[in-house]
Amino acid sequence: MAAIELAGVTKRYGDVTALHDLDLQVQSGEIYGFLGPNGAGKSTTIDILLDFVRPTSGTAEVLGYDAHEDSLAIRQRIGVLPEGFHVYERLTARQHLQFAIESKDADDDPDALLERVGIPDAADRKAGGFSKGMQQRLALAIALVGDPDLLILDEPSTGLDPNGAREMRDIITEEADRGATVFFSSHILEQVEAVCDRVGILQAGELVAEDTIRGLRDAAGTGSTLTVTVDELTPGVVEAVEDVPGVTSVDTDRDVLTVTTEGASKTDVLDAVEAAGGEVVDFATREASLDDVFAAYTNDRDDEVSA
Amino acid sequence: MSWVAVAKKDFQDAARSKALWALTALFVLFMAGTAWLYTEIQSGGQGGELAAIDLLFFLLGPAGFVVPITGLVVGHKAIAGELESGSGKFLLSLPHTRRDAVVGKVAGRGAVIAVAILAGLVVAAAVTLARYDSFDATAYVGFSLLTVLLGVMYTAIGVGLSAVTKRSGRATILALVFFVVFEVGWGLVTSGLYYLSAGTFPRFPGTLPEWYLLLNRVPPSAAFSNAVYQFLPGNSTLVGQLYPQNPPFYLSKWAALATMLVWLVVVPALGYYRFERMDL
Repeated sequence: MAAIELAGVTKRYGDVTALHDLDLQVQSGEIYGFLGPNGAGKSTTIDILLDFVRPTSGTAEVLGYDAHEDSLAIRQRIGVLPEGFHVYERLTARQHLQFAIESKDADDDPDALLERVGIPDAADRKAGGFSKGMQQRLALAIALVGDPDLLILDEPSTGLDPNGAREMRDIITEEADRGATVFFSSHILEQVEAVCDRVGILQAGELVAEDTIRGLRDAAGTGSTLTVTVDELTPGVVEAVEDVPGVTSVDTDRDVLTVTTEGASKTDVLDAVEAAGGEVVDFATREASLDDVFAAYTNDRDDEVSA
Repeated sequence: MSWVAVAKKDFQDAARSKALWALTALFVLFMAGTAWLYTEIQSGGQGGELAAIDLLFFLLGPAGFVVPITGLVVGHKAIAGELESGSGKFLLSLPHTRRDAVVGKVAGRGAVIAVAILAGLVVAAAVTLARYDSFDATAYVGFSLLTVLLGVMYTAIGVGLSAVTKRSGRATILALVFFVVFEVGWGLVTSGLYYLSAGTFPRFPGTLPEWYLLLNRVPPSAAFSNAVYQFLPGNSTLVGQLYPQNPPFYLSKWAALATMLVWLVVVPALGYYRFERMDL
C-alpha cells in the first residue's frame, strides 16, 4: 500500500496555481525526500495531506484514507512536524507533549521523548523561552508521539545546528527502521542525500524529477567531474581528451582541464593526456552532488520558460 | 471527545497568563466594589433597609456592559490568533476536527471567564453578607448563574467570530462591529423600524407592538437583563407592566433564557461553518 498517493492534484489560489496536476506516490516504509526551492509548492502539498487546504481538483490519500473525508483517522496515525509553527509560549515542553499524548490517546512518556530529541532538561520550562533549535526539537518530539505509521516533516532541520541536524537524521533513520514511512521536505540537499531512499523534486508546482539519488544523478547527466592540472596545456592535449569516449565536455583555464564525463574512467582521461604529451601535475575527481542535479533540473526549466 | 483535550490545554495556557489573574482581579474589584459602593449610596440617602436584591438590580447595568466586553476580549482571538501565529498548525495536525477546536476553545475560554466572574461574585457576596440587612440567597445564585452564562455566551460569540478569519486583526474588527451593532446601536435599529411602521418614535409606556418588544430583547445582553428581571423577584420590566399576568411565551423569562442559549450556540456554529470550509 502506498503511504501517500496524490493523483492529478491541482491547487489554485485565485490566479496563482500552486500545484499543477501533481502525481506522487510514497511507498510504505520508505524515506522520501521532497525537494524544491521555496515557493515550489512543498508546503501546499503537505497542507493538502493534512487537510489544512483542499485541492481544486484531484485526489489525495494518506495511508489509504481520503485526505479530506478521513482526515481524523489520518492524523491519528501520523506524526507531523509543521513548518512555520509556533509553540504555545506559556505551556512547558511537558504540557505540549501531554496535550499531544492526550489528543492521540497514546501512552508515551514525555520525559523519554524529550530525552530522545536531546532536550531532557527543558521539560518544565515554558516553551516561549526556547531557542529556535529547541522549539524544533520539541516539535519533533510531538511528531513522535504515538509511534506514528507515517512521519511528515516539513523542513525539519530549520534552526538546527549541524549537530542537531545530524541527530535529526539519526532519529529519521531509527523511525524508518521501526517501520515508519518518512516524508520530509527540504531545500537543504545534504539532508536529503544522507538519508533518503527516494527523492522527488518539485518546481513551480510540478514534480520535475523523481528517483533514487543515484538514478537522479544519472538522469540529470551530470556524471562526475575530473579536474586535471598539467605542466603545460597544449591544444593537442585538449583534443586528445575530447576524443576520449564518454567525455561530454572539456573546459580549460590556464593549466587546468575540467572534464565532465559520463562513463569515461579517470584512467582513460589521464592516459589520453599523457599520450598527447602532457604531464599530469595534479588531479581530482568530484562526483555530482544533489546540488548539481537540482541545479540541472531547475535551470533547464528556467531556460524553457525564458526561451 | 477530543474537544476536552483542547479545552484543557486552552485553560492551562490562560491560567499561566497574567490575563486570567488580571481578569479575576477586575471582576472582584468591580463586583465587590459595586456591592460596597451601593451601601455607601444607600446609607447616605434614605437610610432604609439594605436588601441584597436591590444590589443585584444595581449591578445589572454595569455587568451587562463589562461582562460582554470582557467575553469578547477573551474569545475573539481564539482561532484566528492560533492560525496567525502558527500554533494552530500543532493543534490541527493532531487528531482534532475543526469542530473540536471551536468547541474546545469555547469550553476552555468559557471556563476562564466563568472562574473570574465567580470569584468576583463570591467576594461581593461576602461584602453583602457583612453589610446588608437581608440576603436572598436564591436570587443571588440565580443572578450569578445568569451572569456566568452571559460571560460564557459572549466568550462563545468571540470564539465564533474568531473562526471566520485567519487574521487576528480582522477578528478584532468583527468583535467590535458585533458589539456596536448589538449593544450600542440596536436601539436605533428597533426605533427606526418602529418609525417606518408607525410614523412616530416609540413612547414609553404607551402601547407598543409585540414585535417591537421582542426585537428589543434580541441582543445578547438585553436577553440577559430581561432574564434577570423576569427570573428574580419583583416584576419590574416593561413586559411585566404590560402583561402583569402571563406575557406571550416569546416575551417570557424562558424565552429570554432561550435567547441567551441560542446566541451561545449560533455564533460559534456559524463561525465553524466558515472555518470548516477555509484553506488554512
